Amino acid sequence: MSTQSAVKEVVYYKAETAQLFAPIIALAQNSANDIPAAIIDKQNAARALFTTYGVPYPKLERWKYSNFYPVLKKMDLAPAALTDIWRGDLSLVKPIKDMLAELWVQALLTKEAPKSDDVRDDNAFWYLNDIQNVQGWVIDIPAGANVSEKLLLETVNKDNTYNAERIIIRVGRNARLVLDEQHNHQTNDHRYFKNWVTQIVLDDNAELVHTRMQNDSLKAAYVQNTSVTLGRDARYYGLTINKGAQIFRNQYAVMFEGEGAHASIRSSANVGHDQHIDLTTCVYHNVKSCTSDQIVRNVLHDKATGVFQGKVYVEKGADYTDGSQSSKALLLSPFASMHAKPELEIYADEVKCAHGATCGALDEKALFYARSRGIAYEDARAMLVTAFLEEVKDGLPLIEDSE
Amino acid sequence: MISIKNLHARIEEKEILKGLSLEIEPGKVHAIMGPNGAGKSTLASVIAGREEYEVTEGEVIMNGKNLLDLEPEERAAEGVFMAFQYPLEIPGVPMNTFLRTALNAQRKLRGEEELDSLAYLKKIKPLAKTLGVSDDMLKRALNEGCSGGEKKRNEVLQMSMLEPQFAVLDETDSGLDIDALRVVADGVNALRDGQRSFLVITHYQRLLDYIKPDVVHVLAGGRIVETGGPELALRLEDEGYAKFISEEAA
Repeated sequence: MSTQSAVKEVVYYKAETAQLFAPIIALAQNSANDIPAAIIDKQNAARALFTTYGVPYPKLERWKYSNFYPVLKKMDLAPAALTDIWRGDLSLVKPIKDMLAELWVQALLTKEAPKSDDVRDDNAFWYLNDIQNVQGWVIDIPAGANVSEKLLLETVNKDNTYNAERIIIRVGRNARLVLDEQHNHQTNDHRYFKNWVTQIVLDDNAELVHTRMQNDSLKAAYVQNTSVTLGRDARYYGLTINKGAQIFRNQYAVMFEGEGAHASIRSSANVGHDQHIDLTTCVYHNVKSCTSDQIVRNVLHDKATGVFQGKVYVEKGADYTDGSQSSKALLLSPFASMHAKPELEIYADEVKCAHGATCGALDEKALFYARSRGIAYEDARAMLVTAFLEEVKDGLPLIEDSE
Repeated sequence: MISIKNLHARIEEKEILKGLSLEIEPGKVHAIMGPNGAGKSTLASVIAGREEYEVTEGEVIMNGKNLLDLEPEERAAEGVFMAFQYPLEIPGVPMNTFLRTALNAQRKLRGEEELDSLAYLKKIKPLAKTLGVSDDMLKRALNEGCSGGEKKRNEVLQMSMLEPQFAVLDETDSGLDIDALRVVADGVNALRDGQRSFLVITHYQRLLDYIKPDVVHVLAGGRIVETGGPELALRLEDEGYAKFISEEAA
């Protein structure tokens, strides 16, 4: 008998999981005629990378709580054409395929996927999206434009579809845009997988108010990768309100490139069943005097799970940074769970950073107080829950109720 | 007429009220005084319907109904109001939203028509002004970031809006300076209309200089041990509660 026990090798990737997407990848071959060579190269490289890594595996630190494979495995996915409906000034929205001659669009499409702090984590879903990176939209707001009417995107996926979509947004110097995404479903037993990448570039003093009502099917899987780069004094206000999806990963990489800029990332969820809502962020304060806040409010019923992995990284010399993170969860069932991991990594001296995370039940004393004034139990509960969820809108400019 | 008969209540295993009886006629102000731990706040909580307290015996009759059989919100609709010793902060719910919801919930339970926002504002504006509650406070989350005095004024404003038949004031004077006390007391006195009954629970006689009681009770060891007129409060101020505590211990 051997006394030496075999050293177990940790498996971070399972390449075979990429097989789920083999038919889709095979169909995704673009004809080289109308697409610049650099983009074709990028797609080919991405195909090779995704085939190597497969679906992110929970042994990766940043994927520990969110495992897509079991959900995706149950799906029989066929590629879907875009079903998006845009409202507002339609001249602002162009298919990527019509914009490929633009060098800045090419630059974004060939840009490397943002990496997390886990060196092994290669953002495989971004690669998977890269394979079809010309499917989607470009929104280019010229310098100085203040688009008064909000731009509304409505999207509904069909049963058994896979939808890779890319949205590229550039808001020019001193310009402003309000973008509202409504993610709807037909019925709650429709299985589909959305793997979206949104790349946002805000020039100096530009502002984007970006809201998303996530009301996907209860059997849907959705990965949203968003990168935001902010120029001097630019402002990004991102709010996602989650109601649907079986599993949703909302992943942000925010890069400050000019001083005085601000980013807000807000997320609320009021979910139950076996829903799983994940917000994972990395906010890079690379330059001085920028501010960021992340506010997460999750109300979890039944067997629902919430995940918040928030990170603020403050580069050496990025003084006068103010970065805050606040995650609160109401667990309204003994089977609900919340994983909150706010992180700060600070190399600068003069910074103000705060993070907090709480989990709990509804405040019984506050409930009694409301009841003692005549408000019935269920109404008092609903009132407190609504107020709790509304906290994600604190300080956001001009967010109307999406309902 | 509110009559409390032989009330016994406990929290966990500890019996706090041990056979408390009391009758309050319409329009009267009864004060309950007593040492710490006598059961004063327990009495208020039991009347309002807090679930931590278990009533093991007795009843609280108002309008021919035993309040103890009703949910807290039903008691409110019946006309019971408790001004909290420590009013709760309700994050994210503006005072206006909270109060209008409460008012309309009560009206609905009583089968009355609900107030629209215009009628509500018309009703609250003069009351808020008298109590020194600013428009800004009405729009802010209820009691959030308020001083002790502001919270108590909010309580009295809620009471003035809800127009209860029977108001229980649980140590409303605690944490108030003399000016705030006067504002709060004026608010309460304005509600004395010959029909509405009050139960004013306090540790100190000071409050009773401003809200003149008709009857004063001493609560000690979970029972009413002495009842008298306003002069009883003055006597207690001089003598303290030592006599009652030692009687209880004996």
